[in-house]
Amino acid sequence: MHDAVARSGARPGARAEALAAYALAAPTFLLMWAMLLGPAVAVLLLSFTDWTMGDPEVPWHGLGNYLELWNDRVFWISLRNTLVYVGVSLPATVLLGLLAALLIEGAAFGRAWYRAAYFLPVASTLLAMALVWEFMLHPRVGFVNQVVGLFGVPRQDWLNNPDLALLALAAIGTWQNLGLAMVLFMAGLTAIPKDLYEALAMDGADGAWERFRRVTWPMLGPALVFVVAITCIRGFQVFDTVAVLTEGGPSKSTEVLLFTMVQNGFTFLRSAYGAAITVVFLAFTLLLTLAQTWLLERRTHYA
Amino acid sequence: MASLALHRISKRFGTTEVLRDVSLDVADGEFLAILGASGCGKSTLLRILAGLEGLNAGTVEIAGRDVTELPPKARNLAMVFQTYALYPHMTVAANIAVPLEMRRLSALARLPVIRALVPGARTTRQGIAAEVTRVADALGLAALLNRRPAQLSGGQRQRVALARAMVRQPAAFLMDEPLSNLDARLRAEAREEILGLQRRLGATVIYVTHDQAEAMAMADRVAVMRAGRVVQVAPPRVLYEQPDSLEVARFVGQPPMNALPATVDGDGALVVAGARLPFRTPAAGALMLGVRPEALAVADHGIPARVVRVEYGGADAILHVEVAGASGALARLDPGASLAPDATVRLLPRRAILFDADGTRLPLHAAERETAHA
Amino acid sequence: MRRRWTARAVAAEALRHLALLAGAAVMLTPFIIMLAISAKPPGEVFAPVFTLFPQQWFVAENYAAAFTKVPLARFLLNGFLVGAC
Repeated sequence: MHDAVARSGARPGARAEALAAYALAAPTFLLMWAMLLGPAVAVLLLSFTDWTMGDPEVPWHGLGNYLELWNDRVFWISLRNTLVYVGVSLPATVLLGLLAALLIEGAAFGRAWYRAAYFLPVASTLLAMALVWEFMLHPRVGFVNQVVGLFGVPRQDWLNNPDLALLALAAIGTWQNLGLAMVLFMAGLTAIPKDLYEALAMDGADGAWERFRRVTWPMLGPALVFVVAITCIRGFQVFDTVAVLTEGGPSKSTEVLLFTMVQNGFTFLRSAYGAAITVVFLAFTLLLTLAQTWLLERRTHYA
Repeated sequence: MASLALHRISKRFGTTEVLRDVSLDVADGEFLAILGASGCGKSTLLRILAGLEGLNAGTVEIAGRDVTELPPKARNLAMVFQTYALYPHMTVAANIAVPLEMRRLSALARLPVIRALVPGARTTRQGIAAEVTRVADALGLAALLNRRPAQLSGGQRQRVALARAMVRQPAAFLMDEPLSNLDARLRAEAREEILGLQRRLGATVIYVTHDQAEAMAMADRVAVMRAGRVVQVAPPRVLYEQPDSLEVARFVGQPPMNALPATVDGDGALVVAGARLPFRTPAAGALMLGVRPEALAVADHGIPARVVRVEYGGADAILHVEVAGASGALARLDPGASLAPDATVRLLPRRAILFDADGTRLPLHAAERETAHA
Repeated sequence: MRRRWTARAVAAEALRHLALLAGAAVMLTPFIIMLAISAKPPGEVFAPVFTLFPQQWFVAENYAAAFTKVPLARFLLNGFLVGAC
């Protein structure tokens, strides 16, 4: 029997080892399918049907939903609004988050307090805070109008003005995500070796600008890519504020992808159509994640 | 190049005193090694010299000028870090150019795009590039100028760190264990390179290390530090042959010096483990006799010792023995020596240094050749 | 590295903290307002001029109402269970 094993080239116990490997990986594999891949595939399949919630039948519809999507004015408005929302809140969140991280990390004292204060909005339930924001953005008694009034800006009906509503929501989104960007940047900052700054000091550069330009910014590359990706994805996921504060209005000026999806899928019960919108949303998210991974591979410099 | 002086430096981190009243003078063109175990404060001392750490008391002088209050960039010193601290995202050429850029170009001229508009910046840059090439050639880095640090080997990175330090012709070089990250063979080569460089440039070098062999091989003078104090500053030979204290004696030299408990008999002769040795001293009381392994020879009279084992070392053999019940004494023998474990031998010291119970060196004279009897 | 407290460094640090405090104020304002509103009687909530402190403290009444009008305690427990399990 030993001869047979030696001739076949198999290690004794190799088969048992392989079986054990599969058995150990099985739970994760199953969970992944149950929680992530399964639902994604289900949504994809659903988007090719014409199913209404409650229907006993699931008729096949091919690309019909996507055609409808292509011709749907509301969908394009929704997509545009989402992109504008991300286009405004992403740079603001990333830049302000970076600024906060830089200022706090370099402070002589009080770092923990500032960190807590800036991170609190991230930890809080956006849904609940959205109600507070609704109150703050009130045209008559809102705090925001009182503050801008001090600067001579006339009162605005932030949430009912089609030109301002999306911006107001973007501001709330920035407020909420800034803390997350900040802590991610802080992690990146503490990973920078201190002796680089010391070498820089010896080389004659101890000003804040030179330190930022020559060491901090280049070394933050991976952190930056990560923050942008995360913030971007969270931006695409905006829903709470829209649902609670504007419901897509006024005049669809705050209609965003996920809101359109929920409306179609659950309010209008057009599940298949909603699934198609979801697929579009997932495609964007996947694209962003891939872009992030590719960029990270390129930008990491060092051993 | 310039001379340096550290005068009565004290440094505390919180409540821990890291440096106590340390004074050190370095002559122009001297290679001074600061030797000590981890935690003795040698790196802190170097950093204070560089201006990277503040101090609680004392002054730092460079070329006779008090620089205690000056930031690192104003002190005209160059430092080679243990980790090299090369800028990972810049090429080798860019790394080496940084000190020159900082010194010669105004803030405006250093900015990425605007630099094209600043008059004279281009010529300055060309000058800088020429100097970078010159230094890179001197260290054999010419072929690597466009690589990034991540693409270099440890030895190459070390040379880039050296080049970056050299390029601005500082008053002195500060080196913080620069060879400790290299493997043994590379270390020997790098050692020669650094020494050659120092001689060619006539550079003042302050070299921190925990490796006593390195310090002894490279330095003009060695400052031995322990627990925040400088315990002795002397050329390597003096340190080896005339250590001020037992701890210095045991720190320098490999294998370490033996410390044998000794007493003095009525005639002033030294007695170790009951054996009378041909040494005389005016001292009395409980003493320690320091004998280096190479000074102990197997003879027909001398200190009785029990053989533990013989360690073959190629060029020699190290004999491990037990003296008066305490193990750990060593003698250096010819490589062909073979002695059975548990055998009793007699060891006669050819040279020795005497220390009192506190470890301070005492006078010792070799006596006339006489028969020692156990 | 050492921090050298020159006059310039002190001014820079002061400016830093000023900026950080302003930012913190913006980040925390919604929470402060939330607390303020929760302590006000209905009449004051929509008062024409916003004041931080209520003229009339309505804390006990508001919180009592919150816990009785809906089973808030049960909701909190639900949230805890969903989150922790």
